[in-house]
Amino acid sequence: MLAISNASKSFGSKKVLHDLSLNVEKGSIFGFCGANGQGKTTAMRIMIGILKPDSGTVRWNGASIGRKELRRIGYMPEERGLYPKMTPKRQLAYFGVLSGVNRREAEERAEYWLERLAVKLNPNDSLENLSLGNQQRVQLASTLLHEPDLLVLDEPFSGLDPVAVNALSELLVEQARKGVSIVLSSHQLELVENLCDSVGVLKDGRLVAEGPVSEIKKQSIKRIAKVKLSGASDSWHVDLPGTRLVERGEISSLHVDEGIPPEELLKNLMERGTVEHFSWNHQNLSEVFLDLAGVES
Amino acid sequence: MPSPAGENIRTVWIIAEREIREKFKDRNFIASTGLIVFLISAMILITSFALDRDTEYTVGFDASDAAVRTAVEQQAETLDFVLQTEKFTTLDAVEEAIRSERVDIAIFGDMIITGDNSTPELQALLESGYQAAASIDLLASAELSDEQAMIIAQGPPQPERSDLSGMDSTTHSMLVYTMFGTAILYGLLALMGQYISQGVVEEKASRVFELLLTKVKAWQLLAGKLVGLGLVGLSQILLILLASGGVALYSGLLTSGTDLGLTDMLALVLNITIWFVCGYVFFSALFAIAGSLAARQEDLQSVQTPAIMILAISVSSLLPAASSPEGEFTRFLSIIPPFSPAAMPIRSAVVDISWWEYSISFLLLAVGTVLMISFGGRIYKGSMMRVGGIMKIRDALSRDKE
Repeated sequence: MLAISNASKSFGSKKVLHDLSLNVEKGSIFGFCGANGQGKTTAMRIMIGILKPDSGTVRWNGASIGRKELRRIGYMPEERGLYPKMTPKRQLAYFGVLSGVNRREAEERAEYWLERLAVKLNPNDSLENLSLGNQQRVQLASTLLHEPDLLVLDEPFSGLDPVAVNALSELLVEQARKGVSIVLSSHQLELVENLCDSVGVLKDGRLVAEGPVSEIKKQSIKRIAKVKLSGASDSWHVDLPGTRLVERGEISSLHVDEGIPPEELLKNLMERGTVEHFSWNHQNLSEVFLDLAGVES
Repeated sequence: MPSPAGENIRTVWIIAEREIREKFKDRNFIASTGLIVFLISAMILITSFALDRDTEYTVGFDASDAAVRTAVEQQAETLDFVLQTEKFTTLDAVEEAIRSERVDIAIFGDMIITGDNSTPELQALLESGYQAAASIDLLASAELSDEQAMIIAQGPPQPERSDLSGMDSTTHSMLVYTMFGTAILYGLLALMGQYISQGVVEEKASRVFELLLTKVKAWQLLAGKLVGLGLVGLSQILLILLASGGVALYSGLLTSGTDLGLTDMLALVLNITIWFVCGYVFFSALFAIAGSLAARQEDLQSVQTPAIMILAISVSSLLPAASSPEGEFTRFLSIIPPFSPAAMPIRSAVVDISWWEYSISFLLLAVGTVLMISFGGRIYKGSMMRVGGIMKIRDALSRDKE
């Protein structure tokens, strides 16, 4: 299990991470959400030991992340990077050997992953001669080749076409079933919602929500009613019990407090005019995320 | 389970091995090495050809006048002229040979015939030979014995010479060869330095460093690059020296005009090589630091300038060392890095240096190199996550702590 406790980090006078605490269980997929610059990459770099937290701890199966533990981690940085002049097979084998795999085994695994991920190439092609999609696949292979116990993937879906997104999603689920713990970040929130067992939303370096997607939605979901009234005064929404006008228009949006059931609201509205439209809106994770992250839609 | 030290060495070697493999597959590297070998070999052959033209001449003689020919040949041997001779029976044949440049100069009867290839030295040689032969004829007509005539023809006895300058010709040759050898190696070192800086910035330019940092430590990456690129550079220098040395040996340039024996040559090569390798490690670390400060290949030129300046200052110590190898200033230069790798071989070519001076010089250079690598490692680590522009040393050192 990956356990982060009260990790904080500053660059100069700017604090970019505040007391981050979270656990990622064995075989589970954790998704980081947050707008750009909220601390996701810093949090992930701290997880894999590239950055040291100013305070707090990161533990993997109860031990601090040392050189031995690092070799059991597969990392895909947001800024993709491999050696452009090397052939994919040679560099995959090189990364494998650096992770402690013996050379012959590393070469065999490199061949396996290039085939498994359907990388189209000639044996002497250097990486720079491959399409961007294929380069992305080689990058993923470099993350998986040494059979890590923990995968930390920063925006793994960015730049992938829908077919590749599906293939990667299936691969991650397969890895999780094998017992690999996975931490990923993504702006594609529907993907996170479908793929992750739990998510964390970062805002200004603070974890503003964390837990299973269903729980976060239950906790954070806004009760929004969409209403169209005719024959009502302009101030029909004033003193409407347990509500607050969010948006005024042909169809207006009302925020409805807990404890006010839809039928009570409808009854109150009918007393003020003719109800031409009435609906409850359920937020998806994107809307919850935008709300939590304080981003205007 | 290997020990931590063994694991470190293994990791550094894996990185070094990649550098070596990739460099030897790099077409630009192969082409530039070939070009250097070609240019140096061509230069040696041209020089050798030019020297041959200066010292080897074809001289025409009157077939009926053996006395003049013998006298000229004796003089030529004394003066290190190499002569090919051709005998003629008519003046017309001589003039035709001179015009067609088959013969550089000729003496026929009492006449010296010159052409485009006749140098003043060659004319003086023929005049001197002619006079010597004529003197012997005159003395013979004075009814002196041949022995008396020869003694008189050889002229008055020359005084013996005693040289108190303290540098015999062998030592002088050692000094000159050491100076040129060191200067050439340092020229190549500037080229190797570029490779090292380019290699060090490679991971940042391709942004592969972030992935690598999960597998190796920054200092292991830097050390691996230094070892790998250092070995590549040394093997390139060795190849260039072997190829150009072979050409020089084949053309006769290496052995012509030197009084150094095989033992002297070996001592000279050893002296230059040991100090060059020490200097190479020191300056490699310096170029690695320069490369660490850049994030892209385009920024390399400006960060390399200070390293090249320091290298140039070090090489500049060759001149005072060569002009006064026994002076106190040279002694100072031969002990203090970064001058010692250039000044010490020059000084040791001339002066017997005590073991403790060697030891201090070597120790200071080793300490300087270790400090340089450690300093470079901190800068490298601190500048790794920087992806744009040139980083200041101060910023890199402060980020190293993060």
